Amino acid sequence: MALDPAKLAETFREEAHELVERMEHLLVDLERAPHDLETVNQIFRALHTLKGSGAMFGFSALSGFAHEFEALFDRMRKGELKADKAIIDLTLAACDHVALMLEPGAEVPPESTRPLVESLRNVGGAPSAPPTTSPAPAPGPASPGAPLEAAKTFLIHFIPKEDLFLRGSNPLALFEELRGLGDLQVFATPEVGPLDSFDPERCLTSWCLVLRTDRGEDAIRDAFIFVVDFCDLRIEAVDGELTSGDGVRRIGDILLERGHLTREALEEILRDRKRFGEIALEKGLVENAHLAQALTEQEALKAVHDRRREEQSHASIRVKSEKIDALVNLVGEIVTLHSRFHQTAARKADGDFRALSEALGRLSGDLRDTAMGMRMVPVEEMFRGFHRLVRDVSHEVGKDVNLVLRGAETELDKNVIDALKDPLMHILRNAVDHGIEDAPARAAAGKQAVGTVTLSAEYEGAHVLLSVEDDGGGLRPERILAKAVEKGLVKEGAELGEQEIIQLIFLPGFSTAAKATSVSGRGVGMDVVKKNVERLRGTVEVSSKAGLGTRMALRIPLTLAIIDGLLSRIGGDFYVLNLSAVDECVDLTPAILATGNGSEVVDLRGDMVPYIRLREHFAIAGNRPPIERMVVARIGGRRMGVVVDDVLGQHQTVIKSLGAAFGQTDEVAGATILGDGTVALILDVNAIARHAIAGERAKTPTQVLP
Amino acid sequence: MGKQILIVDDSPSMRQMVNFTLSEDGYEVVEADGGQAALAKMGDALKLVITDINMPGMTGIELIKAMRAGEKTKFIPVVVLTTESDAGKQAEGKAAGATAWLVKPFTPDKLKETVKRVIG
Repeated sequence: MALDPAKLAETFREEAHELVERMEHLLVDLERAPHDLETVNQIFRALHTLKGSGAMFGFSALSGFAHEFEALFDRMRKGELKADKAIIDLTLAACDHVALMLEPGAEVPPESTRPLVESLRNVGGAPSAPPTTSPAPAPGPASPGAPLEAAKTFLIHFIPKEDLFLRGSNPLALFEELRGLGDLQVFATPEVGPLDSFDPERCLTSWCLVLRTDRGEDAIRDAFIFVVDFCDLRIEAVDGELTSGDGVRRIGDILLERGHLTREALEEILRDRKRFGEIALEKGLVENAHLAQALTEQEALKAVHDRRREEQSHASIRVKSEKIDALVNLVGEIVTLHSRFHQTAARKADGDFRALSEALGRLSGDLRDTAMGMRMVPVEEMFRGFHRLVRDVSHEVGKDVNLVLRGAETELDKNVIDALKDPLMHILRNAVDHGIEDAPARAAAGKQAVGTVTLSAEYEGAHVLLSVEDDGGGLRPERILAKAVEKGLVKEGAELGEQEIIQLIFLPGFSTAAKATSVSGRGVGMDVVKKNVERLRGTVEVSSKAGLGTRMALRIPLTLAIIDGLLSRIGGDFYVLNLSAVDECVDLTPAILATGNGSEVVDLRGDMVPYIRLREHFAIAGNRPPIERMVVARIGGRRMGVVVDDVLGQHQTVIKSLGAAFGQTDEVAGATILGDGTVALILDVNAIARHAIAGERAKTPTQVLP
Repeated sequence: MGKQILIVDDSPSMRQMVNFTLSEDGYEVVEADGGQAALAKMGDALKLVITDINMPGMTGIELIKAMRAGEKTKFIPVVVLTTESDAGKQAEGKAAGATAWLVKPFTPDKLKETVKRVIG
């Protein structure tokens, strides 16, 4: 496993984006509850991580900025400042700036950072005191290349008394403290003696330490304060010329000091530039058998480590989503190939072959589930981002709106989540802008001044139901209708049911905004939302209660790669009906057909259901069977039948896209390969219904125009 | 069992960096994103804990204190990662029983060196 700085930087970038999103969410919370110290602490921690990790992975400008940003929250933490709208606006802008600095290849000029830094520093009136903690790239031993002012090298002889351990002192901790002062090298001289008289509780080792620090001798003496009575301690500053060299020179320096090595021998070693221990042994310059022993141990250890390398476990790893897409695609191929394999096996009277096929089937099934599971991520991250949106929009339109999230732990395919972001944003904007009434209207209706928009996610079989609910005034059919008439979408005096009127909002070019605002009037209408959701093979439903609120529900399949459909047959061809909203399947007996009196409608237990014959719709040659079957689906709040020759059963399948050549045909969502290798087209029933309805309307233009 | 090291940090990139770096040296690295998760992952094979100080929930200092109070974890060395170069945090860490610390930003070599020094 190679340590690739670019990969680490990429990981950091992703993490930092998450942190920024979390901060945005927390800042919005903070605005509502400015006294909540825990929120301040959480933001502080996020900035702290940005600062620390940013400096680790080469984002030093970002780290510096995060430091300024952090200093502000440090003041808040100490109660010097209280979050108000101005601070939240500023810090949200700072979040945006952090996001900007995270862009790959982004070179944010310092000039653009400076005003923000100034503002961060000047919060609360007078310019604040300098930051309370030192910036992350702190001048210290840990940042190589940072100039050390007046750094000196000290040679420390630490010869403890034998009862050091018994007095509870740990030399290691001591050395660590020294390490905190600067660059430290430790050389131990164990004088254990014969093993039969060895007492592990007695300290028989003395140490020689070389410390390069800018803190001075007193700081070193402070470190030894607890042991100074139990040891012989000598601290000397060494010649500055010698200190500028590398570690080898300093080791040599010690040995020189001790008289174990002559200056000539040292220089000889330095010319060889090998490992110090090896050379020292090789040349017989150091008569210390422990060195050889230590080297042997090191070798043995290294061998163990090499073996261990194969057995590492990682709690989690991050993988590019394209890789997972490729895996899922391959798994799909394997599953499909297996079903062909299985059918072949079933035809042969070979028990072994069949057993193999079954075992393979179990494996490929597990493989599919595992691969699919890898793409599932909680919707939480996307949800949290909406806090900022709702805040911004509600400020813009001058309303006070609270966003409530439910079921954020619900998992969905990552690709689906990405594709849902825009539609949900639009729906949320609408909810705040149009759904929630303005303050006087809410007061008049006896509602709480603060409006509530609830965004929730929940599982529903192979689907996830996402809903946006507001406690506003609800949709007003009479206004929708008036608007549609005004826009020429509906003829004046058209008689439409309430559901049908509500469906009008999904027509292209429709907008209910009585006054166009910059928020909702962005050229994206509900028609685009609907189209996007349908592209995900999902459905949008609107329900509304006058005076109580509106609810938009999106039903989305858990994953894009696999669909649940009904395998049907027309003539000799197979079709998979992509039905996310199948109500029932009905045999079209002559008795039922007769209820339509010749038109393409049947009476199903008192409910008049229009239907489409796919055989006719697609102009498929051949004759209809005596009894056809009808799949009843719920499309846009209406029930609609799709008639096929036969329904063979439920079919879960991996979608293959048809490619650009079929780009125009939205009625065909893709294709799949059946167990025996036959290709079946996957039909988008929503699109078919839309076309059929459009066709009907074209014939009878008294109703809604397409 | 080999030499197992537990890295405790709420920042995935830090965990990954430490994991990659020490894995290169043949250690078995286990990750935890917080103090509580870390305590749950401490087994017999564990030789060293590397922990961040500033974490949501249980902080690094609290983690060390909890470890020092536990029979099995009492003697496991702890390396503390910190950005605070002020003495307060280090003294606090030392008082709680930290073995060593590393100041961010540090290089992979520095990390390896520290680990080698603490557990050989």
